[in-house]
Amino acid sequence: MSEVSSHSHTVNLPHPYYLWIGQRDPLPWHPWFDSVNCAEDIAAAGKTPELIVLAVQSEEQDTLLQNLRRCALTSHCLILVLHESALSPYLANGVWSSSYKEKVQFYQARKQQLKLDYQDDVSHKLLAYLWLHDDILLPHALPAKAFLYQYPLLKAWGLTAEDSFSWLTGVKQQGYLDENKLHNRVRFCPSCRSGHLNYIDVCPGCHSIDTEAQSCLHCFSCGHVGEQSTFRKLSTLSCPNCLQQLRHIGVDYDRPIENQHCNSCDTLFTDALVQAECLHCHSLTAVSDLQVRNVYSYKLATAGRTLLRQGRLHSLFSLTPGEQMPMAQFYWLIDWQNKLAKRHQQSHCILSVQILNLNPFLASVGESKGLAQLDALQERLRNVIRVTDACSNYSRDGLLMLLPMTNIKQIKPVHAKLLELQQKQAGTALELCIKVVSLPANIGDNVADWLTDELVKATPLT
Amino acid sequence: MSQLNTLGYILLDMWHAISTHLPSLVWLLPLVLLYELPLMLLVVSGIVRFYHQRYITIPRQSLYLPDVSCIITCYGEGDAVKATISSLAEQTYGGKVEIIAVVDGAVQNSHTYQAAKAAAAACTLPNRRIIVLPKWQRGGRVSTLNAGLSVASGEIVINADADTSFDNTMISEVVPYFADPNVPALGGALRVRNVGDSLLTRMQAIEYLISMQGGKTGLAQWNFLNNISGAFGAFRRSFLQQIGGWDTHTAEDLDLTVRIKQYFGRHPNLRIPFATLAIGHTDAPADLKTLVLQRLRWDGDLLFLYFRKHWPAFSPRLLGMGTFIFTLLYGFVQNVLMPFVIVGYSVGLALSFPWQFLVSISVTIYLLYLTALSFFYLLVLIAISERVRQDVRLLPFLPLYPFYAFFMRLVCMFALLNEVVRRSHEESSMAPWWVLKRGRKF
Repeated sequence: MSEVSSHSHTVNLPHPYYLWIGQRDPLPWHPWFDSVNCAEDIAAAGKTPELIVLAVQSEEQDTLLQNLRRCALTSHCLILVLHESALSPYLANGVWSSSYKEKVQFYQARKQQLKLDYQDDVSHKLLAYLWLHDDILLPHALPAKAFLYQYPLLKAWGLTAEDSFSWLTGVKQQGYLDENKLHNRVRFCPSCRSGHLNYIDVCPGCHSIDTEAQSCLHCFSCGHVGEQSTFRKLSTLSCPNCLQQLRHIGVDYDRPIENQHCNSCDTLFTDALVQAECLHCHSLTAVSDLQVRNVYSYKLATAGRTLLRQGRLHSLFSLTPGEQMPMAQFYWLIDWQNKLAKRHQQSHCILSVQILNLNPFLASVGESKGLAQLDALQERLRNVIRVTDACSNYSRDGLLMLLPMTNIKQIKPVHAKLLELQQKQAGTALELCIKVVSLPANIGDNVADWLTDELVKATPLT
Repeated sequence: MSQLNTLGYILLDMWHAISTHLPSLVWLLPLVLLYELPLMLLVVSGIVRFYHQRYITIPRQSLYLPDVSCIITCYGEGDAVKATISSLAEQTYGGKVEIIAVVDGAVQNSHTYQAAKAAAAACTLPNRRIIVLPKWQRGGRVSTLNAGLSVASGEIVINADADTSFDNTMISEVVPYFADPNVPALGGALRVRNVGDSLLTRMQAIEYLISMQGGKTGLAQWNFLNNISGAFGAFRRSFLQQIGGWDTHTAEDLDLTVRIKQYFGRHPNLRIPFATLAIGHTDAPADLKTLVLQRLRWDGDLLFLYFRKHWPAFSPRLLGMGTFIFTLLYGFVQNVLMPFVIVGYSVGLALSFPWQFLVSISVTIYLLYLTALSFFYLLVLIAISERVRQDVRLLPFLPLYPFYAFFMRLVCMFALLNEVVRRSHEESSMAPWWVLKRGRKF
């Protein structure tokens, strides 16, 4: 990457397309920047910049960030700001500093691994954004608004604050997102969906708000409960009901728990009923009837990462032979093959390839690089097996392969090939553990449980 | 059988002699008549006077509502302190009440400290302020009281033990006495809270009823109150601070009473009343060992105070003539000499007469004593007791009381000997040794 002082205007070197918006105060370590004034100029240029730096006033910066994220060309760009503003933690990717290079490199590495075409689907857009910037989707508190919380990124992509919560729940249910942290729990009026509520305590009998705390006494000898002043007689206390003199607290009388008094229906009660009054539509609602919303921040889930790296959705059936298939399909296939094997006296094998040191491996090589190596390994595995072999997703049981019409004695060559493959790896070695289960067998109803049990029982091949 | 007949004859003869020839009683009970009768007359007339003032004249409502500070001395009482604090916070008194719970040795007694803090946090009543004052290093009772006094802001200071709770009219009973500027201090009545615990607590309940409620009410009417109890007393703060607060050594309550009385000679109008109907409820020792240890301390301290610590101040010039004579007779002679006289008299009788005569005379003395006791019991019940129904339940135990009283005289004698010989006041459990060591030696 070329770094050229901005003062030299004769540069024709192939430099990356970096954009600077706003007041420029060049420093020696700055790379070459193209300068534009507004988001529209970038759209007009029609080329996606590698990096955008914003150097404008806070309010202008927030508008600019929203516009940039809305525009398809710059929606996933790496945007750094000179100064933080209200929306920059949600829409920008950090502060411009001399260490910008690491960010750019990281962004580019991620971009290369990204295989998903994301622009036509908001959920894919979100996943891609979180992947590219290794970010977390944060909610932004807006106490002045009736909806209280919104996700600025989703708003820029056209989702309203009200819709984005249920929409995010949907994406989470698909398994692509995980909840990162519960930030708050807010309640909304069920009739107008406003979060601006006034909680009032009312009398549980007549629902009047005219209640007050009152000092009451409870006479032990007759059980009378009444206001303290009705017990006073000069400097002594005596029960107005049974006329007994009350001398000692805890012995003759005590203070009852009911210490709230309703002035309109004259009852005594312990706990007032709490109701929520909507400040917008003035409807009264019981607290239990309010709409409750948990405000989470979200992070990418494993399925989301897989989707981004593999670039497509799994349909129920894998169409290309040798391609990985979802677990449900794989189990169905085992069940079917087992029945066939029993009927036609055939024998099949299920081969499990488990990576023993997956987490230490990813930690030592770095996640993105490690995942790339795993992809490469799977690619090679695909070459090892025959096209008629079925191969599952990687699961807790490892990578599972169904080798049809293969006797357990014939597994040796496959095993040898796998060992060879293990030795070919460069850098930190993945430790593989290979196990075999043979068909036909009495599987029972649950294929997954049976397979797990069998694999635990099986001894690893050496 | 013939022995019983002999006993019967002697008894009948004795009773016949008493009924036909009353002056013979003088020979039978000379000392009792000499010392007890004037005292009894004082007490009875005092009680009658109290009754007249309290129930026959029209009650006046006092508009005097000064701020009151209550100092609670806490040590290892634990949760009992909660009842004390709440009973003080729940007073019907209309003025401001400041409750200062001073926890001595709050490090060892953290449970008591936490209980006091919890009770303070639970109280949200108007006009009531609760201060929990921890003294991390143990300093003893006197230092606890003086620490409380130093933070007290009320015009009147009431001291209370952490295991003593109060009737809700206590402060409104106490305060009107202080409307008289000649009252520097007063004593409050104590009742036994744990009456039902054992026979001993019932005996002590009778003792408290007759000697505390009855005796002190009677004596205080003539300004002869012998002691302001350490478990419950009230003081005018300015006066208390002027005389230097509580003094170290054991029996700080009697010490303070004696020191206040030393102003009587110069200020003849000063008086120490007894607030008969300001009631505190305290836990009495339920077993013999604790009771005996308590009495050894109380009675031994009496001798220490009168004969050692305040001996130089014992003059009519300081005390005033009335107080001087009263203290001489009923502080020194009755409390210090009587136990020896009674025990000596009993031993003398036992040695010089056959047992039949001895038993007969004991029965006679017992019956005479019981008669006097019943008279006082009824008097207190009618004229003083504010819980008549509760106190009537003690009636079946009255015949046992003379034995208890005689046993207590023995304990008292032992305590006096212990003080004379072993200077027991120097080993008080009311303060740690490093505090006692600093005090002046007597």
